[in-house]
Amino acid sequence: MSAASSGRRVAVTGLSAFAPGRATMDPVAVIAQPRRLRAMHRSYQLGTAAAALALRQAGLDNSDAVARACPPERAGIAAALPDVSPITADLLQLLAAVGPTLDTAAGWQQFAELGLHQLHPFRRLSLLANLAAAHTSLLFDLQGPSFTFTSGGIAGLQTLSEAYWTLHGGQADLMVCHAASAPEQEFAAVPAGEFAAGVVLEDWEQAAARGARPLAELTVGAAMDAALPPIAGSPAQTLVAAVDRLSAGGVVSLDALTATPFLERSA
Amino acid sequence: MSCWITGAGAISPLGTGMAAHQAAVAAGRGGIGAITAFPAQGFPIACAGEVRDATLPSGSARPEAMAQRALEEALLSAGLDGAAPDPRRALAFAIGKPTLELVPLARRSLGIAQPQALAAAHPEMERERAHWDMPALLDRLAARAGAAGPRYACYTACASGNDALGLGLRLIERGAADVVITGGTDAQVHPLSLLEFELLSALSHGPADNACRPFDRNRTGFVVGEGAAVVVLESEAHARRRGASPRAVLSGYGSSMDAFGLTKCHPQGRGAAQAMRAALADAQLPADALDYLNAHGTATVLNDQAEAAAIQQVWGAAAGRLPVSSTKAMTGHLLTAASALEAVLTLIALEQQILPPNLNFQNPDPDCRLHIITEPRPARVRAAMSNGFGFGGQNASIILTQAGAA
Repeated sequence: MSAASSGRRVAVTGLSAFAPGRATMDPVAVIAQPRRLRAMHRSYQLGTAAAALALRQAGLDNSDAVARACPPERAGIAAALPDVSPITADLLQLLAAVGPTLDTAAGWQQFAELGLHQLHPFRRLSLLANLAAAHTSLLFDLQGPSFTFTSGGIAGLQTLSEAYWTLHGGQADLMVCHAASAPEQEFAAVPAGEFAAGVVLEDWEQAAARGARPLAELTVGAAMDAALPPIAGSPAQTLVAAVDRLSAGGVVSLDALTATPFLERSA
Repeated sequence: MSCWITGAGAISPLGTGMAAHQAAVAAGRGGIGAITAFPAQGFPIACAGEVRDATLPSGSARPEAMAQRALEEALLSAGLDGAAPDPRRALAFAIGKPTLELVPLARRSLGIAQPQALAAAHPEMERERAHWDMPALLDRLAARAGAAGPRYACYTACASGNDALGLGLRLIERGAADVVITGGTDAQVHPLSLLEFELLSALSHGPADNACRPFDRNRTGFVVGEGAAVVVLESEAHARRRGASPRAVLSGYGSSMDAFGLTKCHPQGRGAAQAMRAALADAQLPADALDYLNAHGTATVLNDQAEAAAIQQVWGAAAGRLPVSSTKAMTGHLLTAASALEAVLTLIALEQQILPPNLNFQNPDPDCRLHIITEPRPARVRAAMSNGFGFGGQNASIILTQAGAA
C-alpha cells in the first residue's frame, strides 16, 4: 500500500489570467528569452508566460526564489494544453514538392530526402503537448512531479485537482498549474482568441513560513472526481474561469468550480 | 487502500492478446521487422515494430482500434465486460497523436501554401479532425469501458503510460473510483513520424534482427513500434466484494522532471533517479526488495547511459545484482504507449515468474554497468519496477508487486 496522504492544507499564492476583451499579455516580454521562444508554439509561449506571471505574484520571480521556497524536486507542474496542429506551412510545401507520386516507394523516398532538409529538426518536439510544462520546468528549475492533460475543457480543472492531491498527499510542496490556447495553431475546436491562465498552489505551512500571502485556500470534494458533463471550450478557458473565482479569495472548493452554471458563465 | 490489477490486455509487435505476449517473453522472440505500412524500399528507415494484423485499420483510426482490442481483453479478463456504465469507474489513458493522412492531404493542399487557407478551402477537414479530437476519442474509449466516472487523457511524451497508471493508482487511493481503466495506445509507424525522429538523429539504421540494442556498447538508436496496452486497476475492497482475484498490485508511482533539456536527458540521470526513489518511497519498499527492473532503455547512447547512472545511484553497490532488461529490443519503442506495454510485460514477469530478456545485448558498455538479462530466465519475481522517460525531461516509474507480497 502506498504512503498515506499527509492531509495538508493547500494555499493559492499566485494567479494570472488572460482572455480576449480583458487583460492581455506579451509572452515575449514575460519570458524574455528569444531563443527559447523561437522553439515554442504560441500556445506554449502563452502557457509558460502565464505560469511565470503567477509565480511572480507568488513572489517567486526565478529559479533561485523557487529554490528558497522549497527544494527543486519538491516543486512540480500540472499543465493542460490542446493538441497543436501538425499541418504546418513547411509540411504543405514538402507535400507540394513531392506531388502526386507520394504513395509509391519513389514518392516516399523523395518525401524523406526533401523532408530531411525542409522540415525543422525539432518539428516533432514542437508538437508535444507536454512542452509547455517542460519549458516552465527549465525556466524555474522545477524538478518535481509533472502532469499534462489533454482531456478537453475539463483538463483546466484537472490540473488544479491533481496538483491539489499531489500537495495534499505530500508528493510536492509547490505546484504550478497552467493552461493556454491559441486557436490558429490548434488541432481542436477552441474558442476564438487567446486564453491563458496560471495558478501557484503551495503547502499552506510552507507558504506561511516564507511570508507569502495566501490569496485563497483550495479544497477538493467528491464532485471533481464524479462524472461531469462535458465542458465546452479549451482547458485554458476553464482555468481562466477558475482563476476568476479563486481571485475572489476565501475557501474555494473545486466542487464549486465544477458546477455546470459556473462553467456556463465562463463560456 | 491497496490497488489491485485485475485485468490486462495488449496488442503489439509481439502479437494480439496476453497469451501471445507471454509466449514471446518465454521464447525471447521479438517483433521488429521490415516496414510494411507503406512502400519503404527507398526510405531511410527500413524496420519498425509493427502490429501484424490485417484486420486493423491504417491511418488515424489505428490507435483507437488497437486500444479497443486491448481494452476488450482487459475487461474480459477482469470479469468486467458488459457491465452497465458505472460512475465509480474512471478512465486514465495515454493516447498518441493521430497521424496525418498524407496522401489525401497532399491532394487537398495542391496550390495551397498556408494551413489557414487549407482549412478554409476544405471545411470537411474540420469534421474529420473532430472525430479524432482527444476528448472525442476519450469519450468513445470510456463508453466501451463502461467508465462513466472521470476521464483523463495524460500526455507526458514517452512517460505517458506510467503517468496514466500512476494517476489511476492515485484515483483508487483517494477513493475517487473503484475501478480505473488505464493504459496507452500509439501508432507512429508512419512516414512523417519516422522522418521527425530521423531529424532528431534518434533512430537506428541497423538490420531488423538486431536494430534495437539497448545498453549494448554498439547501440545506435531506437526503433519505432506501435501498439496498445490496457490494465484494469481496482480497489482491493471492490475486487473482494465481487470475488475478483488480484493478478498483481500496483504498489508505487513516482514522477519527476529533469529541468535540464528538451531532448537531452540529465547525463547523470538526476530526474530518473528521483522518479525511481519516489516510486520506492510510495511503495514503502527498499530498493533491494525489487527482483527485476524493466528499463526505459531506448537504445540511444545518452538515454541508456543516464538510466544506468540513475540505477547505480538508487541501488548503489547492489546495482550489479539487480536483473535489468529493456523489452524495447523485442517490441520497438511504442512512444506514448511504451510504458503501458512495459507495465504489462512487467506484470507477465510477476505472473510467470520469468525475467524478460534484453535481446541483442552482445557488447557490454562500460558506461552502463548493469546486470542485463539477455535470455528469458525463470526467477523469483516478487516486486518489479518499470521506468518510462520522455522528451521534455519527463520521468515516471511504477512498482508492481506480486499479489500477497505487498
